[in-house]
Amino acid sequence: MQYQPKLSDENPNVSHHNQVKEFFALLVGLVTIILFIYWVLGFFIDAAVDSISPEMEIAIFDAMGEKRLPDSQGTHSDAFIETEQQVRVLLADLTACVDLGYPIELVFQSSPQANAFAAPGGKMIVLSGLLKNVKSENGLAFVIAHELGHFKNRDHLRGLGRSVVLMALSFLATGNVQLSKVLVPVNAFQNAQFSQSRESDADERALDVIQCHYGHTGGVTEFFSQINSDVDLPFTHYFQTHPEAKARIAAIRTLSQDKNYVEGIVKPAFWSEVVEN
Amino acid sequence: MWDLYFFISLIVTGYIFGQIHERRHYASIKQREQETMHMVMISTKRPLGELSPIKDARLVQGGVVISVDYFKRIVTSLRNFFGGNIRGYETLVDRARREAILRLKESCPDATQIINLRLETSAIYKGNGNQIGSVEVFAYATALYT
Repeated sequence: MQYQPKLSDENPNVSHHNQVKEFFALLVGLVTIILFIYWVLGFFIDAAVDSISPEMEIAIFDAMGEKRLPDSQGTHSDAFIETEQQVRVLLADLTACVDLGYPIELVFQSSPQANAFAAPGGKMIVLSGLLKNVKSENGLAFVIAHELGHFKNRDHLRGLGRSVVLMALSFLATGNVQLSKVLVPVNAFQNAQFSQSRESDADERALDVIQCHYGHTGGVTEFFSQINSDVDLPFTHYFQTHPEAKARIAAIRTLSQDKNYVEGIVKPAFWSEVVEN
Repeated sequence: MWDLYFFISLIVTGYIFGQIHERRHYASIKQREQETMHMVMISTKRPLGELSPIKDARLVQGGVVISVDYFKRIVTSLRNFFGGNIRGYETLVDRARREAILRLKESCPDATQIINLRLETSAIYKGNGNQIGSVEVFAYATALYT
């Protein structure tokens, strides 16, 4: 037998296919499946949240929350501590207008950021930077009332439940920390759409609280007029959890008119200067 | 958001450089296979035909380690979820096999016959997770000289 070397023209060991096409097909498939599971689990979370009583919530999160939240009574200035006391009084007054079923504890933190959060376990975190962005007590009261609205709607638990589910899902599905990042914008989008309706609900509750406490809704849009709604990247609008400031102000005004609430004279701010520490 | 842009740029960079490298490698493989085609290489223990006298018999070897690009690694992670052929890795392993054999042949250009060819592969694991970072193919055979 004569050995005749010859190279084959075709290479049967490799597939000739479009890898980019394969990548997108797989990605779309995976994202669809995850979103579907996430959507279904959302109902379970809502059901679970509804069945958690306020007492149970406090019992669950008291042990967890204690270490995470630094004590606001640290080495703060007298002005800071005094302001904190007044915010606490304001919070208590506003809480009287909502039937929450449990007391809300104020955590007043020094931060340049202007924000407030409803944390599980009945803790409301108010960042001192918020005071720079509101000019009257009513403006601050609306932000606090908005967070009270979240407590009333139990959004803080829903939000927490959804984030946990998302993290678990995206990691379990891909088993790859890097890859789960691909799903981040999808998560953010989904979360934002869910959140925007929740934010509007909380705004509505907040209006009722403000009307109950002050007898009018003056100064409620103060904070949103102040915050900068710079949009520097395309499509960011869809990823924002809070409806854009302008649209939000308009929505709050319309809502206020629908409810026949009138805007009265606002109370001046009780904090004399910007409280940093 | 920046995490995502970083990730996308890694994928795009991985794809572009992976493709360029793969094309160049295949061009080199094809050319060198053509050049070394005349060398008799078989996997049987005995030589082809009568070879006498055999002056020398040597163990010859060729090895290569090729890394997978970032894009392919991500496509494969997605593929792991659904199952099916991991087509992205086919070219990787094919290139490694052919390169290892070529290096083996190039290590003994004067051999009359290369017999008893064997191939070994191993995956080189990289850092955290069970992601295969690169593949090693090692070819060894006996080169006969007359």
